[in-house]
Amino acid sequence: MTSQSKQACTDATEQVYLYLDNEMSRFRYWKVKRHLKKCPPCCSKFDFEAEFKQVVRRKSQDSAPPELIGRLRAFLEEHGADD
Amino acid sequence: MRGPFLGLRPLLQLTEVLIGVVHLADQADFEADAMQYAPQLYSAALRMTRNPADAEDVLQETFLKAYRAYHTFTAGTNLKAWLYRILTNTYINKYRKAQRRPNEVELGELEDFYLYKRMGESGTSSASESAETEVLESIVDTDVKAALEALPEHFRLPVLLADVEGFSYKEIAEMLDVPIGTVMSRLHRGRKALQKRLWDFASERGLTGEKM
Repeated sequence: MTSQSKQACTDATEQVYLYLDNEMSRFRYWKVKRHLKKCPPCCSKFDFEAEFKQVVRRKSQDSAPPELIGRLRAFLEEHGADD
Repeated sequence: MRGPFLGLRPLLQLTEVLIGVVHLADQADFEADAMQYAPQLYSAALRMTRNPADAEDVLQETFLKAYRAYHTFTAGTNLKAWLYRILTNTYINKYRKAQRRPNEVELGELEDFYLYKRMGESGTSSASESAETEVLESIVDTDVKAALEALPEHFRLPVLLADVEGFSYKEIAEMLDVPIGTVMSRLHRGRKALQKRLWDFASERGLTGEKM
């Protein structure tokens, strides 16, 4: 691996979260994307982090108890008016 | 201290409403507009408080505050973000104890791609291209929840708001009342800590050997 391409990998991986969170300028996003297209090792790392985000999102949700909404409405009715 | 121009704000708001630039929300519509977010807010409150009774308390207080302040909500802007902001503040005011300052050392410094690298080292990922994905998929819900809840609060809230709820750095910065740079560093470190915790869980169960 040339030092130049190594630097390109470092540049890309340092920005992995900004990239996955869609928190970078279009130009910088495009530069990272271009690097990923020609660098399978980086691409594999990015895919993993993207998948990890999905897993955290999907596997950390709890369903609310069925009576929750009813209790919430009753609570608002009782306390909503007083200040 | 009330400045001499403070009285102008309601007048301006009224003018905006009258000329139709800004539609302020109507309290009568509150339930119809906001109730749909209750289950999702409850789930977030559960990750914050770590127990169902406290989660419901925080949720009720959130909805009461939101109901009373609903006339100040500008219709057409992001209602979900507005509700999460109230939820986050309610939780922080109610439950944040003595530990007001983040203990930045408590997580230590973790390397980037923590979980990916551990899996590579252990041979977990050598089998096939999709092995990493399979391992991720094999992580159970209870472990993800436990790992999230084990994060110190200053890291837990940004991870929860970004990864579970999908808010932007700017929205999270506003909710937590910290600079965007702080959100970024806590989120990034929090994610790595989350990965370490999940790796530790998997190791304890012997899920990280040569064969899955």
